[in-house]
Amino acid sequence: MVSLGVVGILILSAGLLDFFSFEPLGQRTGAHATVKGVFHYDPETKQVSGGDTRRFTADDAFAAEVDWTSLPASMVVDAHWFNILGTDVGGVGPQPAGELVDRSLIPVKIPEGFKHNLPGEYDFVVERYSGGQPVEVLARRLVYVRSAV
Amino acid sequence: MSVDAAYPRLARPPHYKLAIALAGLLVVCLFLSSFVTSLVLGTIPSRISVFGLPVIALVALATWIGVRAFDRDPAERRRHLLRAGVILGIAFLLWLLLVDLFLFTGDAPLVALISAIACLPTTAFGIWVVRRLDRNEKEPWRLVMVAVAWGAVVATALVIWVNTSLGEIAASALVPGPGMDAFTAYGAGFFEELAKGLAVLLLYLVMRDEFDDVVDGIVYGACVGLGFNFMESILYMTHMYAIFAGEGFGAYVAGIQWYFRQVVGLFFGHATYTALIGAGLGVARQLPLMRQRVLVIVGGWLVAISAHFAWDAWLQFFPVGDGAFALIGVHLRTLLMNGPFTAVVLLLLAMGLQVEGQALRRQLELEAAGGTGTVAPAEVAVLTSPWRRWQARMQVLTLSGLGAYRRLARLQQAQLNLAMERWHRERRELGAPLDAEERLRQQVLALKA
Repeated sequence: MVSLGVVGILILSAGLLDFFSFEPLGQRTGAHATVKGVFHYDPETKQVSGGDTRRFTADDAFAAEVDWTSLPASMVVDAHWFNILGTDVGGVGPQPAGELVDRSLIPVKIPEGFKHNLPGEYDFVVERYSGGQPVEVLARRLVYVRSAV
Repeated sequence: MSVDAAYPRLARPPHYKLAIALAGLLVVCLFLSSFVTSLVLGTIPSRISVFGLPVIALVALATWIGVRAFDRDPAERRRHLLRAGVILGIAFLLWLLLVDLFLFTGDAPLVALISAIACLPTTAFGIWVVRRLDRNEKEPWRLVMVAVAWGAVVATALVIWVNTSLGEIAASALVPGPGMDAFTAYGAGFFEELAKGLAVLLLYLVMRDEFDDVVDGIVYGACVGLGFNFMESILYMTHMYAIFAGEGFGAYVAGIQWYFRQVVGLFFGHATYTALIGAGLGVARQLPLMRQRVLVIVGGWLVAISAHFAWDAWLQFFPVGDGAFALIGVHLRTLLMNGPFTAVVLLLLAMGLQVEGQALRRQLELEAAGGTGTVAPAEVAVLTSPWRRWQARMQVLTLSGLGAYRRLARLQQAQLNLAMERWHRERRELGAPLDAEERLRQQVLALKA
């Protein structure tokens, strides 16, 4: 049993290495991206309407609006929506923030083969990149999507 | 006549105090869990959570009565244990009804009910198989079901708020992706195994006379895991149904969850992890020094946490392929990622059964040679073979009916209990000197008469 415990320690240590390779220490820059809000979105006109909202139904199209000028233009960033299953359902980047200024609206896309957005919590995250991987969260918004049925 | 016995009866030994302290800690955790859940979640779950408090009181009362029962004489003890079991059973049903059914499922209690009905036969089959594995001396159903109930109700209740809080922390502080997955996997592995393992630890501390060795530890541990898996399956089935119902294939996705949790993963997941904790406690049961006992218990716990962690954190890295290969891939993933740990459990079980079988044979032979009349020399071969024991019972059933079958089953069980008691005494796994062995001998003789 003691040998099994040692095997356990080795596995958990490998887990720590795994964790720190994806969450490296010393990456906090103190930068913050400004998310103006999450709004109803018209896919035809590609425009948002109404006020900042945190609850939608599965039939609603919605998008987050980011003020990319709130970040240094050379900072490599991306912004993505993750649905309740952790699936990426829309985003931009990674690119320097200065190149994303005209892509301030980031809509949620209905997954291929589906009729609606899946109900549940949606996480919108703006991340800073370094060495080809996301290393710091610069902004985050959470919205809730209710079932359409 | 007073003979050294394996199990202390007269005074309350130190491990009882530890068990009482652990039970008290559990009650506090459950209370906090219910309170925090009521604050974190909305109004309807909040009401349900507050209504769930009587359940916590019932668990506390059952624990108190159950522990106190051991300070009473055997005739009284049985009545008090039964009372504790009934109260725990009521708490189980109430908790299932109030918390899991409504809190987890929101406005879909019917889906949860259907999921529970779907999971019952598979879980029952799992419990039956695990109990059958203990072929030399089966554990009593009441303790097996207590283990299942604690896994399903107490352990799940303990981890609801921990998992929720860890998810919130991860979401607010970490970059989505493998790092966050590793973080939540650490939380799930540590806290879920802690919550489940505590049930086995309490059985180890309180029920020494039914917790003999590594085999018993594996059986109790696996049963706690099966109980936990039962409740977790209901949770995931209803959750996935709610997500995909709007697309018209909620039932299909819930069915997939059922298949992977109740068929493919029935023995490979939680049952294996908690069986590893039970194995550590079972080995500790037969070690003489406290330092050795602590080492093996910690070793069992660590490997269980790491197995759980590895599955949760690294599942996504396993290549499952596309198309038809994906179907094979997802099965292979379970086999290759959890299979080695299940194989370790089976190896420990086989070794434990062999050692236990040899010890029982030797003790039965010694008892037969002692001439007390409890075991005849010809009975030794029958008692040490589960197959021959069953054959003997079936023969009696055919010749003399069900009553005779039951009497023989009780006699065989009492003879094996006596051999097990002798084995513990031989290994100096003793508490206070008592006459439990002689009482077992008298019980066997009474059954033979």
